[in-house]
Amino acid sequence: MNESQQWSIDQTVRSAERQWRRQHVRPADLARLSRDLRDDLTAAADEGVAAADLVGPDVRGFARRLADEAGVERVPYAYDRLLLTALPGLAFAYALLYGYIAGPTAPPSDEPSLAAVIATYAVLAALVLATSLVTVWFRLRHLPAMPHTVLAMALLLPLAGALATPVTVAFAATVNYSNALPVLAIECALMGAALAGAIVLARRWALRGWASIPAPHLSATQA
Amino acid sequence: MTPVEGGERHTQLLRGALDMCMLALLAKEPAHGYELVRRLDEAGLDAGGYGTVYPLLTRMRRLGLVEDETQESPSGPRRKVYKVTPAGHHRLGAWRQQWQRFVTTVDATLADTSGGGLE
Repeated sequence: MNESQQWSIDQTVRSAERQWRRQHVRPADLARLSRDLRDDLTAAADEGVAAADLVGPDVRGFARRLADEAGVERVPYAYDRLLLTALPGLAFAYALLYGYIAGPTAPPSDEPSLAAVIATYAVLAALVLATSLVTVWFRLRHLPAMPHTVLAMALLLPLAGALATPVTVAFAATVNYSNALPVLAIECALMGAALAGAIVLARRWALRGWASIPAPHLSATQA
Repeated sequence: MTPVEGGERHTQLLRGALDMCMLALLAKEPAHGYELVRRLDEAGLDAGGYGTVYPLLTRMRRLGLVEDETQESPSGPRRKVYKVTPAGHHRLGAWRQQWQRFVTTVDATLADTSGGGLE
C-alpha cells in the first residue's frame, strides 16, 4: 500500500470519527467502528482501491448510516436541555446578586465590612446554586446519571464561579467599571461561558463510566 | 422508460432484496466488505457500492445473521471476513421461499399482460 492510499484511509476514518463524535457515539463503540472500517478500507486498498473512491464524497452520511445500522447507543449528554434548565436559574440569581450589591452601599456611611460582603455573597451564591441544582434535578431526573451530574455540578459550578469572577472583575477594571451595554454583555458572556463549561464538564464526568460500556453486539467478535 | 427511470426502478426493486442477495453470496463463500461489493457487481446487481453495502453488512451482524472473523495475513493487512451464522442460514432459507412465492405471483400476473396490456 502506498502513502497516498494510507493518507486516503486516514482521512476517511478521521472524517467518520468526527461524525460519530458529533452523534455522541460511545467512545468504546466509536473505537470499534473505527477499527473495523480501517481494517476493511485497508483490505480494499491492498486490492488497489482507494478509500475515497470506495466511500465516496459523503463520508459523514456514510458514517451516520453505519452508526445507525450498527445500532450503537449514543451517550445521552443532553447538553442543550441541561444548559437551558441550569443557566436561566443561575442568570436570574446572578442578577439578584447584582441588585443586592447596589443596596447596602447607600448611604456611604453604612458601608459594610469586607467580611460581611463576602459572607453575604457566599450565602446568596449557595442559595442560587442550590435553587439551580434542585431545578435541574426535578426537571431532568429521568435522564441517565443525573444524580452524579447534579453532584458534579455542585462541585464544579462554585469552582467555575470562583475562577470566572476575578477574571470578570479584572475585565471590568480595565474599562473603569463601565455600565455600557457591550461591556455588560461581555461580562455576562465571560461568566456564562465559565458556568456553561462547568455544566458540560460535570455531565461528561458523570457519564464517563456509562460511556465506556460497549454495545454487546459490537464487542463480540472472533479472533 | 428512460435510463434514469430504469435506474430508479432497479434501485427500488433491489432495496427489498439486497440483504438476501448479500446473505446468499456470503453463504457461498465468506468475504470481507469490499470483496462482497465486488461480487455483487459481478452478479450484475449494481448494489450502490460500498457506501450502501458496508452499513447493511453491519446491520446483518447486529441482527446475528453474519459474524466476522479477523484473519491475519503474513503478506497483507489483516482482514475482517464475514460469514453466515446458523441463524443467517435459517433466515436465508425462509427469505428464499418467500422470494420464490413472490416471483411466481408476479410472473403469473405479468404473463396475463404479455403483450404490454394493450391487446
